Amino acid sequence: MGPAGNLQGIRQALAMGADKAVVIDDPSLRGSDALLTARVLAEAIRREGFDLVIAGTESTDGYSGVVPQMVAELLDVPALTYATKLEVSGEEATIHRQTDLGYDEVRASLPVVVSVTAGVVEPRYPTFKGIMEAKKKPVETLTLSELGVEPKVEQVVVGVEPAPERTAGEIVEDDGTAHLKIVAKLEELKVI
Amino acid sequence: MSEYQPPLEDIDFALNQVTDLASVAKLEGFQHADPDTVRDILAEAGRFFSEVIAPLNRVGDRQGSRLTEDGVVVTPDGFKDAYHKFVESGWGAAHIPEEYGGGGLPYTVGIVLQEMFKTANMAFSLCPMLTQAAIEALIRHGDDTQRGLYLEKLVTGEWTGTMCLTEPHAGSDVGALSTRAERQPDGTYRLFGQKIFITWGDHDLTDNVIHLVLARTPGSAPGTKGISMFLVPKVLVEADGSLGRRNDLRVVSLEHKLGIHASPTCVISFGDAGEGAVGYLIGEEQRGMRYMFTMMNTARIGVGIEGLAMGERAYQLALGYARERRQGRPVGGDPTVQSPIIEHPDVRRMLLTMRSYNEAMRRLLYVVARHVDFERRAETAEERERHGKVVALLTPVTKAWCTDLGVELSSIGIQVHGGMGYVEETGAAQHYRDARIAPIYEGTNGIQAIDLVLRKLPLDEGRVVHGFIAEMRSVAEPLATVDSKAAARLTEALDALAASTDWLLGRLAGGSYNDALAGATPYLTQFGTVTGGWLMARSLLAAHRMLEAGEGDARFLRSKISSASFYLDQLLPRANGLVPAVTAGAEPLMSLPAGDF
Repeated sequence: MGPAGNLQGIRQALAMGADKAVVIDDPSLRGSDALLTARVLAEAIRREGFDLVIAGTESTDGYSGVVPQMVAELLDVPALTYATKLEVSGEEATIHRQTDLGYDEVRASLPVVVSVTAGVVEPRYPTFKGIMEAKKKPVETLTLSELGVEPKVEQVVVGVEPAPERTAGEIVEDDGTAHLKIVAKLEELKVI
Repeated sequence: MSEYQPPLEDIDFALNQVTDLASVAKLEGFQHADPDTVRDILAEAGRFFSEVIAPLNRVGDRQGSRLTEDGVVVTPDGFKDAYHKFVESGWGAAHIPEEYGGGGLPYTVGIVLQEMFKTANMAFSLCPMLTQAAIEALIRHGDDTQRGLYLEKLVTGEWTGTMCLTEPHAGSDVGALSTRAERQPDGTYRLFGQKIFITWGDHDLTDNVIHLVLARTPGSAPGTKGISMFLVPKVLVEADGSLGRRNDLRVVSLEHKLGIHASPTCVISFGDAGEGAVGYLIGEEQRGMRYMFTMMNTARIGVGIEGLAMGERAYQLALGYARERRQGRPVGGDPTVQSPIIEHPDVRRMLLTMRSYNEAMRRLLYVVARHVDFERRAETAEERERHGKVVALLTPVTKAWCTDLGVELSSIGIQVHGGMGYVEETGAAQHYRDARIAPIYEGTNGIQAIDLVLRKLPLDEGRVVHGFIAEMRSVAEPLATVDSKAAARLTEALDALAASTDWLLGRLAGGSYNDALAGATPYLTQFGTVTGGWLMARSLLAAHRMLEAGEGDARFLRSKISSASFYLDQLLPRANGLVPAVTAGAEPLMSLPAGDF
């Protein structure tokens, strides 16, 4: 999803080994919300046919972190999220889902949507052959009407406020009871 | 951020605006190397060399390759993994002809890949560089069986190659070598002897190493005429391509060197076990030296790249330091605040000197590479020959001028750092130490100067060199329209070069060879400096044209004009000062008896 004029990222993905790219370029997608993005992606994926959809966890601009799950829902398939490891065996996909304490092993039958976390897998470098072959690979460009998706943005931005400025820290002078004040403070913050 | 950022913008400008890459892409078989594709290729390759190869430069220097008690050469941490990624990436084979499994890119692009590898990690880059020489030898002079068994694996990089020339008493004078090769009834040979200075002669990166060894057959002519070339694998290769038993050769020791510590420089003993190392003759007996010469041009240009590589690397490091380090207060500046040292005129002089010479070297290397492509692929035999002669003329200049500058610029790089530059932890010293080998190997720079004066100037009775000087002159006129002072300086430098050239040709014609030899080294420096001036003038003109046409990034183009002007105004005039040394003759050098030194 994006302007077809800049295909740098697409070409790099093709050079890394992808067989084909589909670009959905439509002016009405500017300012798209998570749900519209998911609808567009789901429709494009359905059109191509799929067994396994791999997505990042979130984009580095919107940071909503919900698009892969929405795509799965719209495609009516399971979502395996926050994967640090993925194995596909026969008709089944198994992931390690990152948790605060370690990981859960989660399985689902194909077709499935998997979202992977950043920095876990080192992407391969495009090879010389890959770069040359990428030139011959098909890149299809579609508009929203060709995809049959209505550009409806339902998310409303109510307001934008700057993050609160940092306030000066509280200084506790030690008159012999400072430890008690600190413990009270930590209890108030519910960290102990 | 990696320590090495490939200067893609200047590379692109040098390739397209100074070198005319588009004309190379019109040659037979190079159609896929159009400027857009090349830009994509270089961006990805640059990322690879910057992220995978460059970070190993420091560890390679600190650890070095080492020889274990079992006689195995172990490379520094990370080299094996990075080498495998390099093989996988295909960058090593990108400029080898497609019929041999390579990518079929022109040398004009291949040289940029080499530049990036060498700048990222010079010691590491020598391994694929030597392999490249072995590939060229096999392509040109090997037979079908040899090509079938060895070529593919060398092209992919699954095996590496070496060149075994030097012996303890046969260095610059290769003809003195004594390694012997005895012919067996089955047509193979057995080699006995010791070779030294074998770059990447053994290592743990691959399963096999293919040595190309110069040796003498019984009854062969003395000197270089009697030398033959043999292919001697570390591990013998069966007819089906599988690996057989170890050959009778072993690494006796590694040299402890000033720099390029990651590159194992081996002493190799052939035939120590008594049976002799199995070798296969390349081509015919007693033609080995001739085969070596066919590879010499690209090998020497390849070493010339190292001058640029160390100059560029040293510049990037020094520039980063000069921007951060605060010392002193500039004239007219805030007296209460120390300024970054890049604000001081003398530091700027150092940085601009590095930057301008680097740009000049880059342009020279690419232009020579373009001539190599035309020598190989131009349409008519006449054209190919014409370009071949320019390559012959410029090869010794490229090798020696660039590698001398590599030492000079990496030394300036230390100077920019002040005392910290002399301390190893800044990394500036490594570049200086690494750069120092390049004026020595692949024919010392003294040998290059002799080659230029004795062999290259007389080509076609001096018409090749004068034709080249005339070509350089043609840029003075358009230059005068944008910068008359620079044009006058260029004309003056070209006049001085023409006069030096005529003086040397006159001495050669009169049989006064010692006079010509005495002036050879300063002449080569003069030649290189003036050639650099011609190329920087072209760079300046291209930048002007683009600025006027509103093309490209104006800030970048103005920086090109700045470095070109600095070169033409302040570096080019150095060439004229060499004339007295070029034309002094041998008497001032030879009159003092050797014992009175």
